[in-house]
Amino acid sequence: MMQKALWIMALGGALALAGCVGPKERVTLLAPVQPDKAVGGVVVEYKDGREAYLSNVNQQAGLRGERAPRFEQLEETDPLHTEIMGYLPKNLARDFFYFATGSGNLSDKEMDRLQAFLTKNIENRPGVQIEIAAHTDATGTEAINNRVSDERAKTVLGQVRKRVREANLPVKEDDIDTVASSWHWARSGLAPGQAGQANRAYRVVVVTVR
Amino acid sequence: MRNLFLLLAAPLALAAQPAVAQEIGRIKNVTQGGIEVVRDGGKLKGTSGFRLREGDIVVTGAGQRAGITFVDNTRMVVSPGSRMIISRYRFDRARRTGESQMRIERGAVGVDSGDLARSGRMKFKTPTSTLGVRGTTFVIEVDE
Repeated sequence: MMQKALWIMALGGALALAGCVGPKERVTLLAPVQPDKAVGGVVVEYKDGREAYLSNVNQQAGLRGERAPRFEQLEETDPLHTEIMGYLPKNLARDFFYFATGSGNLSDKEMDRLQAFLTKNIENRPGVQIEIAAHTDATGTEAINNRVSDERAKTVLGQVRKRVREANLPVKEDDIDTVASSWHWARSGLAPGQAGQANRAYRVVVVTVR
Repeated sequence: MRNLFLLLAAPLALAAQPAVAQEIGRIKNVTQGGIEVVRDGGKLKGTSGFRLREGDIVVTGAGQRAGITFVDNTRMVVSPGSRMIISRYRFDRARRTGESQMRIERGAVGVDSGDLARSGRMKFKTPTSTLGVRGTTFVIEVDE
């Protein structure tokens, strides 16, 4: 009996030494849960700034501290991983709403569309948050554009809160907030040193529900 | 001289303070009864809508799990039997840049990365290793 137990312990030790027992720490790259997203990668940093890359779907790295990670290509997605990712919160919903030329408010028609968007997307979304960002164009300074976009976003915030109250939507007032300036986004489309051109298309409000 | 030093150092010290009061994400879907969030040494109940802050520790017991959405749109699942420390999380919502570092001490965490991963400054630590994220979907597991 004692001899049998010793044999089992020795076999366990040998398997562990041979790496047949799964690593205690591991990272597994999965297929993107958003179809329009690339697979991307995960970098494992180990000794003295050295790095190893996971870049294939279902590739797994056993993490071993300062030693190089041990890679394994899984044949298929581990059902446990599928189960874990199945519990992700809903992805964000986003839409764009436009000011009429010369107006700092959204028209009733745009507000109807915005209200319909909210009604549809706050459903089955626990802990809902609504973010309102007002775009500016790529002209002028960041400071001025920050101020303008902040004012626009806050105006729309007032309009949205009023609609939420009137329609009795299940969203608390402090669950809706604003983000100042997307001037940075507008500039990001320009080449270095390129001057921004006035663009009416930036008379837009971006509403994100997450 | 000492007073001058204090006068100069005080604003710098204030500027270096982490924005602890700032919401960095929210618990969304969560198992019945909620999970545990450790903040400043105290234990809080993390239910749906709970606002997370930098420094929070998310703890799930057996049979508990939580889905979290961060302000950069990173989504996570903290599986049963996990402990995750949000050591650092900074995100400029206007410029969509920042950095984060989270430590998985035990359990399993599934991640669908958001805007932070684009900058390459989203990191996860396990007890032995450091992982950098490049815009992707993955699971980290740490067995006890």
